[in-house]
Amino acid sequence: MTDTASTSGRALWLSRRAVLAHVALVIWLPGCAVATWWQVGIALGGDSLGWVYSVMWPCFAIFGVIFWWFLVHDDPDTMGARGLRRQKTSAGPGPADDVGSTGTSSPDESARLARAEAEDPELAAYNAYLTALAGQEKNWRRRP
Amino acid sequence: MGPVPSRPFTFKPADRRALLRYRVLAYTTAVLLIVLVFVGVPLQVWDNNLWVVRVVGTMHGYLYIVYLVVAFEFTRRLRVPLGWTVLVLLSGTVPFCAIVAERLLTRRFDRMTGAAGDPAVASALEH
Repeated sequence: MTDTASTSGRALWLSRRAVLAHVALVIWLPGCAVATWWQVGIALGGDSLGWVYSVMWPCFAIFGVIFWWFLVHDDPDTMGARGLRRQKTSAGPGPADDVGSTGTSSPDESARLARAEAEDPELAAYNAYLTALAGQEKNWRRRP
Repeated sequence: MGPVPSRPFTFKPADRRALLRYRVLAYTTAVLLIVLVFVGVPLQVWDNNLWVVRVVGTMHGYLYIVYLVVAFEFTRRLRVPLGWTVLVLLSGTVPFCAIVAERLLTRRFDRMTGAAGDPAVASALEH
């Protein structure tokens, strides 16, 4: 949401990738509707398996809308192998920076963190995970 | 307060429950599909026995919908590109392919969480 602010709405919705997604969705949804209708006919004809597919095709339609949304909004740089490298270098959202800053912070700050971790084992585990991640990455480099 | 996450829909990948959910669904749909194709269909063709196809086909059909939801959520966690996500979802309809997809995604999960290499990370993830 914040990073899409740098891209204007028009660039987001009218990029090549987005337009292809719009076209695919416009073909896909009526296709799913026709397939659903076809399977309802089969089900009413007495084949009980038709009901399964009468449910499945609307689900495929919903998935079409979800994929369309992500095709428009996903930043390819955050996905796949590139995304993996980025995820390792930045060690996830938000909390990573909080953990990273504790090394140089005042004693009462780290005491506060220790208290919070004692209260929340899940947080402690997550922080341990982030610290380990940061440690294992030899050549970690912040993305500009 | 920390900085705002760079992308919406950021999941913590280090969730063993998500991995387990996905693996259970992948294996269940895969086994049902193998039974359907290699037991049900031959019975239907050569013995005119529709019983297995009806029962197992219905079970696989509805479970496949659950598989779609669970597998999709898992691929989002692992930031799998959308093209591969489509293949993972469709693998639930081709015998044995869901098992291959499960192997690949589990390996990716291990790489992303560092659980494969680093015992410290692995122990942190056990919580």
